[in-house]
Amino acid sequence: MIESFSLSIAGLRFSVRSEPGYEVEHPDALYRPFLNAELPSDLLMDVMISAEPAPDWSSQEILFDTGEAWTAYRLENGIGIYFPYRKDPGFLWTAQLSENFDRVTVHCSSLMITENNRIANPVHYPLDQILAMFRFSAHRGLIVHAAGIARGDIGVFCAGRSGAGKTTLMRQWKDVSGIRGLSDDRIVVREIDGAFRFFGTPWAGEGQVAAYGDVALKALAFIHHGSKNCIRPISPASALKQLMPTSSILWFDRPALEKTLTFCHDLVETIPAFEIHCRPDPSAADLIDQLLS
Amino acid sequence: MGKTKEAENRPGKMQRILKQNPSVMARTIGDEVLLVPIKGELAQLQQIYALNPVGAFIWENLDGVRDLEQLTTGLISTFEVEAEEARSDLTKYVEELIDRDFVFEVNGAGS
Repeated sequence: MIESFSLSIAGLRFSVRSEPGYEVEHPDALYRPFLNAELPSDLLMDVMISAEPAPDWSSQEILFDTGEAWTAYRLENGIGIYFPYRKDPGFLWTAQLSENFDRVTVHCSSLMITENNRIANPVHYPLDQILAMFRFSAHRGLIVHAAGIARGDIGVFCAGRSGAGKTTLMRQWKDVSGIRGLSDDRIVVREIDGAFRFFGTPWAGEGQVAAYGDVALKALAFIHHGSKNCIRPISPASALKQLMPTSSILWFDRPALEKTLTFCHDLVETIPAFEIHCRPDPSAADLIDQLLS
Repeated sequence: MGKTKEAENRPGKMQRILKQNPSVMARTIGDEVLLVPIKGELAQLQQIYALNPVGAFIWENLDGVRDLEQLTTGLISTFEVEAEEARSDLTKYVEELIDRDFVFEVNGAGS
Protein backbone atom coordinates (compact mmCIF):
# COMPACT_ATOMS: atom_id res chain seq x y z
CA MET A 1 0.00 0.00 0.00
CA ILE A 2 1.16 3.53 -0.69
CA GLU A 3 0.71 6.27 1.89
CA SER A 4 -0.83 9.17 0.02
CA PHE A 5 -0.91 11.69 2.84
CA SER A 6 -1.26 12.09 6.55
CA LEU A 7 -3.72 14.46 8.14
CA SER A 8 -3.83 15.43 11.81
CA ILE A 9 -7.02 16.94 13.24
CA ALA A 10 -7.23 17.54 16.99
CA GLY A 11 -4.67 14.84 17.71
CA LEU A 12 -6.32 12.29 15.44
CA ARG A 13 -4.01 11.25 12.63
CA PHE A 14 -5.62 9.98 9.44
CA SER A 15 -3.05 7.89 7.60
CA VAL A 16 -4.47 7.73 4.08
CA ARG A 17 -3.28 4.92 1.79
CA SER A 18 -4.34 3.67 -1.61
CA GLU A 19 -4.07 0.46 -3.57
CA PRO A 20 -1.02 0.09 -5.83
CA GLY A 21 -1.59 1.72 -9.18
CA TYR A 22 -3.84 4.44 -7.77
CA GLU A 23 -3.00 7.87 -6.45
CA VAL A 24 -5.23 9.86 -4.13
CA GLU A 25 -5.36 13.60 -4.73
CA HIS A 26 -4.29 15.76 -1.81
CA PRO A 27 -6.85 17.76 0.17
CA ASP A 28 -7.59 21.37 -0.67
CA ALA A 29 -5.88 24.49 0.67
CA LEU A 30 -7.78 24.70 3.96
CA TYR A 31 -6.28 21.35 4.96
CA ARG A 32 -2.65 22.34 4.32
CA PRO A 33 -1.86 23.31 7.95
CA PHE A 34 -3.11 19.86 9.02
CA LEU A 35 -1.12 17.89 6.41
CA ASN A 36 2.03 16.73 8.10
CA ALA A 37 2.96 13.29 9.34
CA GLU A 38 5.09 14.88 12.05
CA LEU A 39 2.22 16.67 13.78
CA PRO A 40 1.63 15.30 17.29
CA SER A 41 -1.19 12.76 17.48
CA ASP A 42 -2.36 10.39 20.16
CA LEU A 43 -5.09 8.71 18.09
CA LEU A 44 -4.66 6.98 14.78
CA MET A 45 -7.06 6.07 12.02
CA ASP A 46 -5.84 3.99 9.09
CA VAL A 47 -7.74 4.95 5.96
CA MET A 48 -7.52 2.59 3.00
CA ILE A 49 -8.79 3.99 -0.30
CA SER A 50 -10.03 1.33 -2.68
CA ALA A 51 -11.26 1.34 -6.24
CA GLU A 52 -12.78 -2.12 -5.81
CA PRO A 53 -16.58 -2.44 -6.01
CA ALA A 54 -18.37 -1.33 -2.85
CA PRO A 55 -19.95 -3.94 -0.57
CA ASP A 56 -23.71 -4.38 -0.73
CA TRP A 57 -25.34 -3.31 2.53
CA SER A 58 -28.92 -3.31 1.29
CA SER A 59 -29.89 -6.07 3.74
CA GLN A 60 -28.12 -4.48 6.72
CA GLU A 61 -29.81 -2.57 9.52
CA ILE A 62 -29.97 1.18 8.98
CA LEU A 63 -28.72 2.94 12.11
CA PHE A 64 -29.12 6.50 10.97
CA ASP A 65 -30.23 8.27 7.84
CA THR A 66 -29.63 11.99 7.45
CA GLY A 67 -32.27 11.97 4.73
CA GLU A 68 -30.10 13.97 2.34
CA ALA A 69 -26.44 13.23 2.87
CA TRP A 70 -25.28 9.95 4.36
CA THR A 71 -26.66 6.76 5.83
CA ALA A 72 -25.09 4.65 8.57
CA TYR A 73 -25.51 0.86 8.65
CA ARG A 74 -24.81 -1.57 11.47
CA LEU A 75 -22.47 -4.23 10.12
CA GLU A 76 -21.40 -7.51 11.67
CA ASN A 77 -17.99 -6.11 12.56
CA GLY A 78 -18.35 -2.36 12.48
CA ILE A 79 -20.25 0.49 10.89
CA GLY A 80 -20.91 1.25 7.22
CA ILE A 81 -21.40 4.76 5.85
CA TYR A 82 -22.99 5.26 2.45
CA PHE A 83 -22.64 8.59 0.67
CA PRO A 84 -24.91 8.93 -2.38
CA TYR A 85 -24.24 10.84 -5.55
CA ARG A 86 -27.09 13.32 -5.77
CA LYS A 87 -29.82 10.75 -6.22
CA ASP A 88 -29.75 6.99 -5.87
CA PRO A 89 -28.72 4.58 -7.25
CA GLY A 90 -25.38 6.32 -7.80
CA PHE A 91 -22.95 6.77 -4.92
CA LEU A 92 -19.67 8.58 -4.44
CA TRP A 93 -18.13 6.47 -1.70
CA THR A 94 -18.84 4.00 1.03
CA ALA A 95 -16.79 3.73 4.22
CA GLN A 96 -16.49 0.58 6.30
CA LEU A 97 -15.33 1.34 9.84
CA SER A 98 -13.81 -1.30 12.10
CA GLU A 99 -15.42 -2.10 15.43
CA ASN A 100 -13.18 0.19 17.48
CA PHE A 101 -13.14 2.90 14.80
CA ASP A 102 -9.38 2.84 14.15
CA ARG A 103 -9.48 1.46 10.59
CA VAL A 104 -11.65 2.35 7.64
CA THR A 105 -11.84 1.16 4.07
CA VAL A 106 -13.28 3.71 1.66
CA HIS A 107 -14.62 2.33 -1.61
CA CYS A 108 -14.72 5.06 -4.24
CA SER A 109 -17.10 4.79 -7.16
CA SER A 110 -15.96 5.26 -10.75
CA LEU A 111 -17.31 8.82 -10.49
CA MET A 112 -14.28 9.63 -8.33
CA ILE A 113 -11.62 7.99 -10.49
CA THR A 114 -10.06 9.66 -13.49
CA GLU A 115 -8.61 7.94 -16.54
CA ASN A 116 -5.05 8.04 -15.20
CA ASN A 117 -6.04 6.25 -11.97
CA ARG A 118 -6.15 9.35 -9.83
CA ILE A 119 -8.81 9.19 -7.14
CA ALA A 120 -10.54 12.37 -5.99
CA ASN A 121 -9.77 12.65 -2.28
CA PRO A 122 -12.74 11.46 -0.21
CA VAL A 123 -11.06 12.29 3.13
CA HIS A 124 -12.53 15.74 3.51
CA TYR A 125 -15.85 17.04 4.78
CA PRO A 126 -18.10 15.22 5.49
CA LEU A 127 -16.18 11.90 5.62
CA ASP A 128 -13.32 13.07 7.84
CA GLN A 129 -15.78 14.67 10.23
CA ILE A 130 -17.94 11.55 10.39
CA LEU A 131 -14.87 9.40 11.07
CA ALA A 132 -13.65 11.85 13.72
CA MET A 133 -17.08 11.84 15.36
CA PHE A 134 -16.91 8.05 15.77
CA ARG A 135 -13.29 8.04 16.94
CA PHE A 136 -13.63 10.89 19.44
CA SER A 137 -16.83 9.43 20.91
CA ALA A 138 -14.73 6.85 22.78
CA HIS A 139 -11.86 9.19 23.63
CA ARG A 140 -13.29 12.15 25.55
CA GLY A 141 -13.63 14.38 22.50
CA LEU A 142 -16.42 16.28 20.81
CA ILE A 143 -16.89 18.24 17.59
CA VAL A 144 -18.75 21.47 18.31
CA HIS A 145 -20.37 23.87 15.87
CA ALA A 146 -18.47 26.85 17.26
CA ALA A 147 -16.07 29.68 16.55
CA GLY A 148 -12.85 29.33 18.52
CA ILE A 149 -10.81 32.38 19.56
CA ALA A 150 -7.47 32.30 21.38
CA ARG A 151 -5.10 34.65 23.12
CA GLY A 152 -1.77 33.07 24.01
CA ASP A 153 -2.47 29.59 25.37
CA ILE A 154 -6.05 30.22 26.46
CA GLY A 155 -9.20 30.42 24.41
CA VAL A 156 -12.96 30.46 24.37
CA PHE A 157 -15.33 28.89 21.92
CA CYS A 158 -18.66 30.39 20.98
CA ALA A 159 -21.15 27.75 19.94
CA GLY A 160 -24.24 28.40 17.90
CA ARG A 161 -26.26 27.08 15.04
CA SER A 162 -25.78 28.28 11.48
CA GLY A 163 -26.72 31.95 11.29
CA ALA A 164 -26.21 32.59 15.01
CA GLY A 165 -23.34 34.99 14.30
CA LYS A 166 -20.14 32.95 14.59
CA THR A 167 -18.66 34.23 11.35
CA THR A 168 -19.62 37.83 12.15
CA LEU A 169 -17.98 37.51 15.55
CA MET A 170 -14.82 36.12 14.01
CA ARG A 171 -14.64 38.97 11.49
CA GLN A 172 -14.73 41.44 14.36
CA TRP A 173 -11.70 39.77 15.88
CA LYS A 174 -9.75 39.41 12.68
CA ASP A 175 -7.54 42.46 13.11
CA VAL A 176 -7.26 42.58 16.89
CA SER A 177 -3.66 42.29 18.01
CA GLY A 178 -2.78 39.19 20.03
CA ILE A 179 -5.93 37.34 19.05
CA ARG A 180 -6.06 34.40 16.69
CA GLY A 181 -9.00 32.49 15.36
CA LEU A 182 -8.76 28.71 15.35
CA SER A 183 -12.01 28.18 13.48
CA ASP A 184 -15.08 30.14 12.52
CA ASP A 185 -17.35 27.11 12.34
CA ARG A 186 -16.21 23.89 14.02
CA ILE A 187 -13.79 23.13 16.82
CA VAL A 188 -12.92 19.93 18.63
CA VAL A 189 -12.86 19.98 22.42
CA ARG A 190 -10.97 17.20 24.19
CA GLU A 191 -9.93 16.28 27.68
CA ILE A 192 -6.24 15.49 27.68
CA ASP A 193 -4.37 14.66 30.90
CA GLY A 194 -7.29 15.95 32.94
CA ALA A 195 -7.51 19.34 31.21
CA PHE A 196 -9.98 20.56 28.61
CA ARG A 197 -8.40 21.96 25.46
CA PHE A 198 -9.89 22.89 22.13
CA PHE A 199 -8.49 22.58 18.64
CA GLY A 200 -8.89 24.34 15.34
CA THR A 201 -10.15 22.21 12.46
CA PRO A 202 -10.14 22.40 8.65
CA TRP A 203 -13.96 22.55 8.71
CA ALA A 204 -14.26 26.28 8.20
CA GLY A 205 -17.30 28.46 7.79
CA GLU A 206 -17.89 31.38 5.44
CA GLY A 207 -14.92 33.26 6.89
CA GLN A 208 -12.55 30.40 5.93
CA VAL A 209 -10.83 30.44 9.34
CA ALA A 210 -9.19 27.04 9.78
CA ALA A 211 -6.02 27.14 11.88
CA TYR A 212 -3.97 24.26 13.20
CA GLY A 213 -3.43 24.54 16.95
CA ASP A 214 -4.96 24.05 20.36
CA VAL A 215 -5.37 26.04 23.56
CA ALA A 216 -6.64 25.58 27.09
CA LEU A 217 -10.38 26.14 27.26
CA LYS A 218 -11.13 29.04 29.60
CA ALA A 219 -14.84 29.44 28.93
CA LEU A 220 -17.53 28.29 26.58
CA ALA A 221 -20.27 30.52 25.32
CA PHE A 222 -23.46 30.19 23.33
CA ILE A 223 -24.08 32.95 20.85
CA HIS A 224 -27.48 34.41 20.02
CA HIS A 225 -28.65 37.49 18.12
CA GLY A 226 -29.75 40.31 20.38
CA SER A 227 -30.93 43.91 20.16
CA LYS A 228 -28.14 44.91 22.55
CA ASN A 229 -24.88 43.33 23.64
CA CYS A 230 -24.95 41.39 26.87
CA ILE A 231 -23.26 38.43 28.45
CA ARG A 232 -24.47 36.37 31.38
CA PRO A 233 -23.28 33.25 33.13
CA ILE A 234 -25.49 30.19 32.76
CA SER A 235 -25.94 27.03 34.81
CA PRO A 236 -24.25 23.76 33.84
CA ALA A 237 -27.69 22.33 32.98
CA SER A 238 -28.45 25.21 30.63
CA ALA A 239 -24.99 24.84 29.10
CA LEU A 240 -25.48 21.12 28.52
CA LYS A 241 -28.89 21.73 26.98
CA GLN A 242 -27.35 24.16 24.49
CA LEU A 243 -24.13 22.24 23.92
CA MET A 244 -25.68 18.96 22.80
CA PRO A 245 -27.69 20.30 19.83
CA THR A 246 -24.69 22.30 18.60
CA SER A 247 -22.40 19.26 18.63
CA SER A 248 -21.85 16.34 16.29
CA ILE A 249 -23.08 13.40 18.32
CA LEU A 250 -23.87 9.76 17.60
CA TRP A 251 -27.48 10.11 18.76
CA PHE A 252 -28.42 6.70 17.44
CA ASP A 253 -25.83 4.74 19.40
CA ARG A 254 -26.68 4.40 23.11
CA PRO A 255 -23.19 3.43 24.39
CA ALA A 256 -21.58 6.26 22.40
CA LEU A 257 -24.25 8.72 23.51
CA GLU A 258 -23.72 7.70 27.17
CA LYS A 259 -19.99 8.42 26.86
CA THR A 260 -20.58 11.72 25.10
CA LEU A 261 -23.14 12.81 27.68
CA THR A 262 -20.70 12.02 30.47
CA PHE A 263 -17.99 13.98 28.68
CA CYS A 264 -20.30 16.97 28.11
CA HIS A 265 -21.52 16.78 31.70
CA ASP A 266 -17.93 16.92 33.01
CA LEU A 267 -17.15 19.76 30.61
CA VAL A 268 -20.02 22.00 31.73
CA GLU A 269 -19.37 21.21 35.40
CA THR A 270 -15.70 22.21 35.01
CA ILE A 271 -15.63 25.12 32.57
CA PRO A 272 -17.65 28.30 33.13
CA ALA A 273 -20.40 28.79 30.55
CA PHE A 274 -22.03 31.96 29.30
CA GLU A 275 -24.77 33.10 26.99
CA ILE A 276 -23.88 35.95 24.66
CA HIS A 277 -26.53 38.07 23.01
CA CYS A 278 -25.02 40.45 20.52
CA ARG A 279 -25.68 42.90 17.75
CA PRO A 280 -23.94 42.26 14.45
CA ASP A 281 -21.42 45.08 14.88
CA PRO A 282 -17.83 45.44 16.14
CA SER A 283 -18.92 46.34 19.67
CA ALA A 284 -19.73 42.67 20.33
CA ALA A 285 -16.01 41.89 20.35
CA ASP A 286 -15.79 43.42 23.85
CA LEU A 287 -17.94 40.57 25.15
CA ILE A 288 -15.37 37.97 24.15
CA ASP A 289 -12.59 40.14 25.50
CA GLN A 290 -14.26 39.86 28.91
CA LEU A 291 -14.12 36.07 28.67
CA LEU A 292 -10.47 36.00 27.60
CA SER A 293 -9.29 38.43 30.28
CA MET B 1 -75.28 7.06 23.66
CA GLY B 2 -74.20 4.88 26.58
CA LYS B 3 -70.61 3.95 27.15
CA THR B 4 -69.34 0.79 25.50
CA LYS B 5 -68.03 -1.97 27.74
CA GLU B 6 -64.53 -1.22 26.56
CA ALA B 7 -64.88 2.44 27.53
CA GLU B 8 -66.28 1.49 30.92
CA ASN B 9 -63.24 -0.71 31.59
CA ARG B 10 -60.82 2.04 30.60
CA PRO B 11 -59.02 3.57 33.59
CA GLY B 12 -59.78 7.18 34.54
CA LYS B 13 -57.12 9.82 33.98
CA MET B 14 -55.70 9.51 37.47
CA GLN B 15 -55.68 5.72 37.32
CA ARG B 16 -53.38 5.72 34.34
CA ILE B 17 -50.04 3.97 34.79
CA LEU B 18 -47.15 5.28 32.73
CA LYS B 19 -43.67 4.04 32.07
CA GLN B 20 -40.48 5.73 30.91
CA ASN B 21 -39.54 5.12 27.29
CA PRO B 22 -36.24 3.16 27.36
CA SER B 23 -35.08 5.22 24.36
CA VAL B 24 -34.67 8.25 26.61
CA MET B 25 -31.59 8.94 28.70
CA ALA B 26 -31.85 11.04 31.85
CA ARG B 27 -29.00 13.07 33.24
CA THR B 28 -29.14 14.97 36.55
CA ILE B 29 -27.23 18.24 36.70
CA GLY B 30 -27.64 20.35 39.80
CA ASP B 31 -31.33 20.28 40.66
CA GLU B 32 -32.46 19.70 37.09
CA VAL B 33 -32.93 16.54 35.09
CA LEU B 34 -32.29 16.60 31.35
CA LEU B 35 -34.06 14.05 29.18
CA VAL B 36 -32.18 13.13 26.02
CA PRO B 37 -33.91 11.03 23.35
CA ILE B 38 -31.89 8.42 21.48
CA LYS B 39 -33.11 8.68 17.92
CA GLY B 40 -31.92 8.12 14.44
CA GLU B 41 -33.26 11.34 13.00
CA LEU B 42 -31.69 14.78 12.94
CA ALA B 43 -35.05 16.34 13.80
CA GLN B 44 -34.74 14.91 17.30
CA LEU B 45 -31.63 16.92 18.14
CA GLN B 46 -33.56 19.83 19.57
CA GLN B 47 -35.68 17.68 21.84
CA ILE B 48 -33.58 17.76 25.00
CA TYR B 49 -36.07 18.49 27.72
CA ALA B 50 -35.25 20.00 31.12
CA LEU B 51 -37.23 19.08 34.21
CA ASN B 52 -37.32 21.10 37.41
CA PRO B 53 -37.39 19.24 40.75
CA VAL B 54 -41.16 18.63 40.53
CA GLY B 55 -40.84 17.35 36.97
CA ALA B 56 -37.86 15.23 37.97
CA PHE B 57 -39.86 13.64 40.81
CA ILE B 58 -42.67 12.83 38.38
CA TRP B 59 -40.26 11.40 35.80
CA GLU B 60 -38.47 9.22 38.34
CA ASN B 61 -41.76 7.80 39.60
CA LEU B 62 -43.24 6.91 36.21
CA ASP B 63 -42.19 3.34 36.81
CA GLY B 64 -44.96 1.37 35.14
CA VAL B 65 -46.30 0.32 38.55
CA ARG B 66 -47.81 3.29 40.36
CA ASP B 67 -50.77 5.15 38.91
CA LEU B 68 -51.10 8.93 38.71
CA GLU B 69 -53.24 9.09 41.84
CA GLN B 70 -50.41 7.51 43.82
CA LEU B 71 -47.97 9.97 42.26
CA THR B 72 -50.23 12.84 43.34
CA THR B 73 -50.02 11.61 46.93
CA GLY B 74 -46.24 11.45 46.61
CA LEU B 75 -46.08 15.01 45.24
CA ILE B 76 -48.23 16.33 48.08
CA SER B 77 -46.04 14.78 50.76
CA THR B 78 -42.70 15.55 49.10
CA PHE B 79 -43.32 19.15 48.07
CA GLU B 80 -45.96 20.07 50.67
CA VAL B 81 -48.42 21.36 48.08
CA GLU B 82 -52.23 21.27 47.91
CA ALA B 83 -53.87 18.36 46.08
CA GLU B 84 -55.19 20.65 43.35
CA GLU B 85 -51.75 22.09 42.60
CA ALA B 86 -50.18 18.62 42.65
CA ARG B 87 -52.76 17.29 40.15
CA SER B 88 -52.30 20.32 37.92
CA ASP B 89 -48.49 19.95 37.85
CA LEU B 90 -48.75 16.23 37.29
CA THR B 91 -51.22 16.57 34.42
CA LYS B 92 -49.08 19.25 32.76
CA TYR B 93 -45.89 17.20 32.92
CA VAL B 94 -47.51 13.91 31.96
CA GLU B 95 -49.16 15.38 28.85
CA GLU B 96 -45.86 16.99 27.83
CA LEU B 97 -43.95 13.74 28.35
CA ILE B 98 -46.53 11.78 26.36
CA ASP B 99 -46.47 14.35 23.55
CA ARG B 100 -42.70 14.05 23.36
CA ASP B 101 -42.87 10.26 23.35
CA PHE B 102 -40.79 10.14 26.53
CA VAL B 103 -43.33 7.95 28.39
CA PHE B 104 -46.10 5.60 27.39
CA GLU B 105 -49.21 4.23 29.07
CA VAL B 106 -49.18 0.63 30.17
CA ASN B 107 -52.86 0.27 31.09
CA GLY B 108 -54.79 1.86 28.23
CA ALA B 109 -55.84 5.43 27.41
CA GLY B 110 -57.46 7.63 30.03
CA SER B 111 -61.08 8.64 29.50
